[in-house]
Amino acid sequence: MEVLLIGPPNVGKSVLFNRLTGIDVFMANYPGTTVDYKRGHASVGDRRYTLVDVPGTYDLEASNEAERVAIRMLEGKPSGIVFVLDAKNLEASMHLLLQVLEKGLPTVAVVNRSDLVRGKVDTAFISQELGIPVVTSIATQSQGLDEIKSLVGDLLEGKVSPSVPRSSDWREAERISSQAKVPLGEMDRIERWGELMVRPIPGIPIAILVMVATFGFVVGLGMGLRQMVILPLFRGHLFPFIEGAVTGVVSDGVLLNILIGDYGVLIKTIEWPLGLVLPYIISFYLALSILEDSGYLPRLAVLIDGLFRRIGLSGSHIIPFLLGYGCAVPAIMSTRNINDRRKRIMVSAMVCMSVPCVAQSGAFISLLAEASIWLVPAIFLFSLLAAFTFGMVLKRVMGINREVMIQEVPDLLLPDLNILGKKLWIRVRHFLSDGVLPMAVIIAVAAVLYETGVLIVIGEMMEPLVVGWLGLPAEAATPLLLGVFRRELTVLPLLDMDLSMLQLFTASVVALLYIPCIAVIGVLAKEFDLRTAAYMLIVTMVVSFAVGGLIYQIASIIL
Amino acid sequence: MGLRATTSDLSDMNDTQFNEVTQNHGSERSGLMVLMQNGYKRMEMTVSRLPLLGNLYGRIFYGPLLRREAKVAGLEEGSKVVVVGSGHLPLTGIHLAKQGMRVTCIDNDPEATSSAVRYAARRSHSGELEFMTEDGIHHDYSEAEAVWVAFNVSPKEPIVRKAVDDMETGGKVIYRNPRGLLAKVYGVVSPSEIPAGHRRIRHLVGKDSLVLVNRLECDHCLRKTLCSLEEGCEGVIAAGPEDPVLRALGIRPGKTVRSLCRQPLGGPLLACVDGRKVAIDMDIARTITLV
Ligand SMILES: Nc1nc2c(ncn2[C@@H]2O[C@H](COP(=O)(O)OP(=O)(O)O)[C@@H](O)[C@H]2O)c(=O)[nH]1
Ligand SMILES: C[S@@+](CC[C@H](N)C(=O)[O-])C[C@H]1O[C@@H](n2cnc3c(N)ncnc32)[C@H](O)[C@@H]1O
Ligand SMILES: [Mg+2]
Repeated sequence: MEVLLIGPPNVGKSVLFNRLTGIDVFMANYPGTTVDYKRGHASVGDRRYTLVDVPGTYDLEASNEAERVAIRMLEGKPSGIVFVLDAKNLEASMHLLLQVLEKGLPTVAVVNRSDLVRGKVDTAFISQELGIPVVTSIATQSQGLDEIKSLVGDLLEGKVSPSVPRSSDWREAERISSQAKVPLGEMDRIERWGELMVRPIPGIPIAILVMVATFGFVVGLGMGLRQMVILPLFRGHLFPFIEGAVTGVVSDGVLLNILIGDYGVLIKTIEWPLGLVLPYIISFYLALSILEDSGYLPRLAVLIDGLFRRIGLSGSHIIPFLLGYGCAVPAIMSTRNINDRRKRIMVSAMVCMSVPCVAQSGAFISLLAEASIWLVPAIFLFSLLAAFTFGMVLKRVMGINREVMIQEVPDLLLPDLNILGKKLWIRVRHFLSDGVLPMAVIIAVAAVLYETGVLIVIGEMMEPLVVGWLGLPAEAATPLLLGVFRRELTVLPLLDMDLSMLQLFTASVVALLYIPCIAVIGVLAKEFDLRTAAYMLIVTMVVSFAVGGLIYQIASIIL
Repeated sequence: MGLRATTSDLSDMNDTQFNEVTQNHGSERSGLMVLMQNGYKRMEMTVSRLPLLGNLYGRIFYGPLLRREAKVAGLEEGSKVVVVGSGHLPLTGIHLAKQGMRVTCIDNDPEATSSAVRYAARRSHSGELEFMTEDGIHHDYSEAEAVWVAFNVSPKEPIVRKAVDDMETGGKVIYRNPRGLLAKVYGVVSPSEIPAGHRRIRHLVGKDSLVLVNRLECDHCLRKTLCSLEEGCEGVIAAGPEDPVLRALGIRPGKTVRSLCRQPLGGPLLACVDGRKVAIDMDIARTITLV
């Protein structure tokens, strides 16, 4: 038995879905967060059913991917529909509801976000007009869940008769909702702020402040976690323990070196993923989740649209970029709601080329902050510059047409701590389950190759490039080889080499522009095709060596 | 601004006299204004001897601004235009000529005309460019398709009015109004008091450009759209594109829409319908007409 959860974007469907199924679906205060749909099992009494979180659409005209998915699901003979209306934007929700009723399926309706209007929406009137049961809810506070569950129970038991199709024009939607709706009250303080934040003044200065503060927060919290919590724990307790245990069992030799030597498996497999990367995963995703839930991101998109127009994109394309600062995989997936395929490829390419993932950023910070605190903003500014330049080039080369922006700007909301914590946990858990292990395995393989001398041989072969052109020590070939597997590994091994400032910067630039990691290549091949993935490999490889080399060559002439 | 009639009578005098007389009139705002005008003129004089500087400013800032004004006014190559108050550094005229227009520059200061001629001789352009010494208030604008009235021309409003009256249906007058503090010092010429349709262009920095269109019959230029709606004002939508998302967001005929603000660098316009904020691309905002 399948029940569909349908409604316009950003009405709280995903929150409701989570409350009903206990599955962690992603939610954000950004219209159109659910690109893929999610299914989850839930039960009412002893009846089990499958709930589907259908992507939010404004309409059912099959004009974009989300709408096509929704239509396909409606035609797949579900047992019933739970339609979610937005108390604050009743009219638009009503229009979609009327369209859904045309399908003649058993339907019940929920007026969600009813805390955002002052007074109560007249559900009895709606129910009487449409001939379907209607309840109100506040998904974020779990209010009205029992009523929804009992309606779902009715759906499953066949107690709700199929809806009667009726006219679904705007006039009808306006009529019903204007009678059921409560007048919007005065703007409150947070709304007024919300409006100020999209005005160029003071919106742009605020946006710059927000970005700088976010950066500071991510770096500060990440470093704090690392220095105060994780490292003391590792260095004080865990590592001595491991070393003691190993030296007790293994005597001197290659094996000992592999286990706890320079690239010691037991030390690095723990220290790199958990000590260097994890703190920044936590701080970055906390910051991103706050930005997402507060509804600030659409504002940023609107403010930055003018700039993005220059490279043929629209401000809403900032989302893949921000996600890319976490990991390129979800960033590339999130480009699915871009209709134009070439634009999708362009955004994905820009993310792969010039946006460092959080793991790599963490590694940059560890590497550069020790040498000079200014190198850290320098490399991130360089990344922005590179993205823009690359965008300009891609626009020309790919002949990208300008994107037209139509974007709802939802009200600012105070993020709900519970939901925030949950989101953060989903993301951290994902790193722990999918990120740590591959990284550890690769480090282990690298350690074996290194200790057995294989890496050194390959390194020697790359010497003209690495030493002659890039001005780096010969060992720096190692991170470039490892970088094929994970992006942060292009940086981390540099930590133990004694590099000058110029070398640090050159190496960082190469690492930044260098090829995407293997997981990203996989996603590129899956989302587009092998050819695109191969192109991306070649282009990033060539550009990173070219730019890094130029920086070194020019700097060494000047200095 | 009771001073206007007086200063226009004095417009043949040279700078110093001009300055003294207005100061005798004692109005502080106008004194300051004249002071600033003269300062501006001196600056232009200096810059006209440093072609590189003027060139740079023109490329980066002034050229795009003029192109925008010309686009809104619907002017094309070959259009016949007049620039009133072209000054020592006739950037307006040169840029318009570069866009292929036939330009006549007038200035009531013979010195300005002669140094403008000298400056222009060193610039290349594809249009026609001629200079005359004449006061803007006496010029006959009936042949022109568009008239640019420079910022420091005075008396501005009578000249703007005369140009609107002289020209044929659809003729355009372009002038600029300062914003904020400068508006207090200089005063503004309010477009709504002149019998012509108008569109306001807000630039990222500096002044507003106003494009006046004479005769109310010109319905294409006078069409009120969401884009021409002034910030903070409300209008009722007459028609718009048949886009399902726009309609769902409340951009439908009959809805009252408020224009909140515009984003820089040609970014979207922010509108509010039923308490819902929607960012709409300028190209689309221009197609949403109001009653
Ligand atoms: N105030 C309030 N916010 C809600 C409620 N339900 C959801 N939200 C918020 O609305 C935003 C959109 O929710 P989401 O579930 O992602 O919407 P979806 O696009 O329909 O899946 C999130 O920021 C939620 O925290 C509610 O009942 N009240
Ligand atoms: C300072 S310039 C402005 C030039 C402008 N920025 C440009 O690049 O075209 C102003 C000029 O307007 C002239 N002017 C002022 N009042 C005028 C009038 N009534 N008729 C003609 N010219 C006038 C002044 O002589 C001065 O040279
Ligand atoms: Mg969702």
